[in-house]
Amino acid sequence: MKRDFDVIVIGSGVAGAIAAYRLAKLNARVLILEAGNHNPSRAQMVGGYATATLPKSLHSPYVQITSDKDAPSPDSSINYYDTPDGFVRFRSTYERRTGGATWHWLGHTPRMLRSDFKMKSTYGGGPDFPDGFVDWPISYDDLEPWYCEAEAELGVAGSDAEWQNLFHSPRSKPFPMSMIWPSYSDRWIAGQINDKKFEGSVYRVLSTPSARNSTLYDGRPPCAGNSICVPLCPIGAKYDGAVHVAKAVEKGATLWEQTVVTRLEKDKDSSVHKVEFATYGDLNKKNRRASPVTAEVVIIAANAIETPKLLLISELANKSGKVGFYLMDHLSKSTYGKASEPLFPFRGPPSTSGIESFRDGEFRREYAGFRLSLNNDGWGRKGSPYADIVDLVTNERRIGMELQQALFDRIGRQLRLSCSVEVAPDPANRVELSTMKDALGVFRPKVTFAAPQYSLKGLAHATSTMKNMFEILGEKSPDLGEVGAFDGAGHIMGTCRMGDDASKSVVDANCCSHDHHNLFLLGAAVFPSCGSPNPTLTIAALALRGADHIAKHLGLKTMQVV
Amino acid sequence: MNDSKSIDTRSDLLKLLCEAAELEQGIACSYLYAGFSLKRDLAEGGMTWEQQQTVRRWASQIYFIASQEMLHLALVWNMTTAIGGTPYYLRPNFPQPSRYYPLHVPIELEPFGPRSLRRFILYEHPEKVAPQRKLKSLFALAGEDAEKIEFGSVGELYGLIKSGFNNIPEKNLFIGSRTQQMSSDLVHFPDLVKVVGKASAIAAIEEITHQGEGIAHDRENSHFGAFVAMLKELVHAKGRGFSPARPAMQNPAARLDASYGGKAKAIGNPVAAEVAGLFDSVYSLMLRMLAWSFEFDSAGVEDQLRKFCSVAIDLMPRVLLPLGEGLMLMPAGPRYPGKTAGPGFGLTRHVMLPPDAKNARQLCKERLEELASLGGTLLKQQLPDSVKNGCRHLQAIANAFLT
Amino acid sequence: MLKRSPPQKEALTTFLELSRILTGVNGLAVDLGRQYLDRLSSSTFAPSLQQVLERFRSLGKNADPDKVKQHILSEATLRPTICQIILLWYTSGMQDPSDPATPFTIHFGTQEEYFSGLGWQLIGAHVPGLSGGYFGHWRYRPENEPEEAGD
Repeated sequence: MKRDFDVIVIGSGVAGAIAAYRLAKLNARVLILEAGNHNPSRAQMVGGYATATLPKSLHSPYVQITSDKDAPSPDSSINYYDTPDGFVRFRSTYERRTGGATWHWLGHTPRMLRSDFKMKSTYGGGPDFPDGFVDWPISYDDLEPWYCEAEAELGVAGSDAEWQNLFHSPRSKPFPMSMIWPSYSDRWIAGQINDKKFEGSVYRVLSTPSARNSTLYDGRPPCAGNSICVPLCPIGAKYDGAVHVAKAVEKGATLWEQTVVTRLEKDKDSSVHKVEFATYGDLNKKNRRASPVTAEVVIIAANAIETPKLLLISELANKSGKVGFYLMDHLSKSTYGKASEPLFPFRGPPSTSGIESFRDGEFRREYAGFRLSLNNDGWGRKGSPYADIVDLVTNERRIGMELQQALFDRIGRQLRLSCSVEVAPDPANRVELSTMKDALGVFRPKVTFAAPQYSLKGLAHATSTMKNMFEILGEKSPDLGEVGAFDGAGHIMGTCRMGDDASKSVVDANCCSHDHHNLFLLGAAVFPSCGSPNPTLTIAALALRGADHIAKHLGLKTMQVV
Repeated sequence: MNDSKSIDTRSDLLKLLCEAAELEQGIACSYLYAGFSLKRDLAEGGMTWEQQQTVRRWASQIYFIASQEMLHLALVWNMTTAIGGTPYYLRPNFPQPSRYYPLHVPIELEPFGPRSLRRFILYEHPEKVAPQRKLKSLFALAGEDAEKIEFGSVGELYGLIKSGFNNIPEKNLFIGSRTQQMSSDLVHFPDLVKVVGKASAIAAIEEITHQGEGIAHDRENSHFGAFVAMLKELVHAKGRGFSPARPAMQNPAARLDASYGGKAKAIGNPVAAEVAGLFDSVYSLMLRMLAWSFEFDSAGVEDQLRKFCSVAIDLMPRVLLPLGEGLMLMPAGPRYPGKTAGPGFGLTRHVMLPPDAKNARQLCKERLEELASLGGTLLKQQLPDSVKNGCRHLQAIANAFLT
Repeated sequence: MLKRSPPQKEALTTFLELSRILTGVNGLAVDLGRQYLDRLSSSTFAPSLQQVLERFRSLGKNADPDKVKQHILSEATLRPTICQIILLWYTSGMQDPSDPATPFTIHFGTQEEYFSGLGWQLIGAHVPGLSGGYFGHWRYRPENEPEEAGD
């Protein structure tokens, strides 16, 4: 039977866009369905950001009244998540726009480590080790060539010398671009802290690999230090998913925006070919088909909340009963202090270096590993410099040159350190369907999340590490926030985990549903565990690997992994 | 320049490398001048906030490209010392007439605009690509006479250099000490690689041409591609009072002497002329420090060399950049109504720094202190903030420099 | 363009001179001053602003920071308005006195005003969203490093 398309990709974030591009490049007939709308020009978005009320939200450049109402996301509507009683609202959010949440990501692209893929077999067995951990059905070595591909596709800048073989995780290819230069602050901190020890690890400041141009690459300029990467790169030096959406369309993919998938239907043989959708807003429906639309292969790449939500609504892919389970999001915490010398914050990307030393080790039998970031944005998250100006004038009664000097004295030495702590997979953390619906009549997600003890212990260690760092840097009483308190990292993972055992997982090692041979899930939803790195590079690598598998499934000539 | 199609003696290869060093430096200065001229603040007028975003992006791209030209200069120096030569840092003062190099395009100091962008495109034009109709029509849109294009290319020069490395037997050619070679570990030029044999020499040349003109299937990410895109944007953005550049004079000189081309103009405003003179002196010192570093054999004293180089590199963003930009906010003088001054990048006769490291540092320290003192005197005048910043930073760098 | 009446022109002149002393910055842009004066005059700060301008006028030609501190800033009821004037010039933002989350809730005017904020340069930085210069400039001490930074 001839289907409308060879492939339907649901979701135009980085995973969906990359897969759509790769398949369109092989002449597959690809349809991308995006719930949100495209963004206006970068200049307009910068203008929106500039005049947005402080504190400026992640969503401030992306406000669109119609899409915010009809394809709501937690970025656009505070009450989008349904939160069960007794739980705090899930802290991480995402955008429903063409290109997805990479519009407002920071851009960091560290890889997962070798042991991150094999947590159970490497560190399991002890009394403190969470039961939810499983090994991935693939290894670091299986994914490594795809990491290299992903770095080339996104355009990653990094230091080969610093990152070769970190924690036994070798690189088979150089970074596509040389590193984003560490800031003055990073270099000063490295001079103070490198080679000192804490809790069995040695501090070493490394530049952070980033999907941010350090040279002209892919028709985009090098970073010029606009400093508002989160929530928007004004010049396109930072990668966002819209890059691959454009490439996919240029290769012949069809893109339907303002198109919310409402249900997938399975055939008698359990294959899933039919996609039902609703549209909204002022839409040119010329050349569009009416709902439903069909394809040989369906890919859901709608992030780790919308993907399980759609599966649950459609009652698909859930023989294991695990759809929605094992929601993960790194625990993020910022700590604040002042260095003993001026560091000149508010310049360059918000973070250019980090400390990877605490990501791995025997301690992971008992508590979570973590990444540390050195940040270049001072105390901006606490209202600097606005709050400082108000305080200095109102309480210290300073004006004129005296105010200028005092302002610099206050702000010049400001430093924010932050951590991103691995979250252990816990079946109690999950995405389910709310009883409440959105404006289009689609069920909203009910999101339950509480930090596992294993990760809270890791957070405590991360906090004391940051305290130790501040001491070395000249700050004896840093602001460490409340004990046990954390923010969301925006790294939403784990709700449709990958595994060999169909009774305990949702997709196989190729991201194919165990229950439906032509249904694929791409994105962080498939992560069985998450380590501590930002997930986007791993998402991209899995998407490339998955697209390659799908191409074979469709009988297309596949691309060689270089 | 040698007219032959290939090079097969060390002497001819060294001469070409000198020509390449002159060209890379001259082109970098031309880019920097255009970069300095781009407005920063809305208060300067002539741009809306949206246009300001574009103008700042252009400035950052031009500075980036200029920094890559400096990297090319560094690679040329590595190639030069690898085959037994010494780093060449001299060049004619501006403007350099169009026949001085077979480029047939003048190398001059001119504020940002369609004319300067046209020159930049021609500097970087790919060797094997004849001017396309598109390029001609783009120039026509920019108000230039497109039919009279006649030029060589920097790529041709590197093609000849490459032939030298290919033709001259490797064993005889690479007589320089390996510990003279500079890498990004010693001096902050990212992507700077050591040249230790034919393969690395060819790789260095390919890096230069790839960045400059691109390769057949990737022009977009080259300097050539970036300038073509910039000119297109400028042509479409013009109109309704959009004025992205400061009205800086062309080819200024702090102090005219016979080494300048006929078209150079002496800055008339005495304070601006002094600032321009300071700029030239700092620029010359920075160049001599870097050239010396590339010649110095650092075996066993890498750390000292690293510190020395970091002072030289630091002079660029903290002194030369603010002085250069600030000069373009200062009046050029009564003979140039409506025009502002600018840095002439003037080089005058001076010795190379001596081979002995201690003596070299002594000469640098003294010179830095002299220049810092000049800067201190200038601070008593009415100056734009960026010029004041440059003078203060010079004092700080001089104070921190240890022999 | 609306012609300003003499009292409005005088108010602008006074406002600009006061702003110069409060911010410590010379050569403040007149158009920007006009916009900020308008914003203040149509906000809840308006009555207090009138008092501030009158007091400043009464200091005469020898007004300086010490006199402003002594005669205006010393008055607790006028201090928020002084603070607001500085906040406008430094960041283009205004607090909302009725919002309990102040000083961390700041409202902005036009994009031109936002990108003209002077405070960022004073700390050796740049207006967030506008390029700080060129790739890698963050590696070095700032070219607009304040004098007080020391070396």
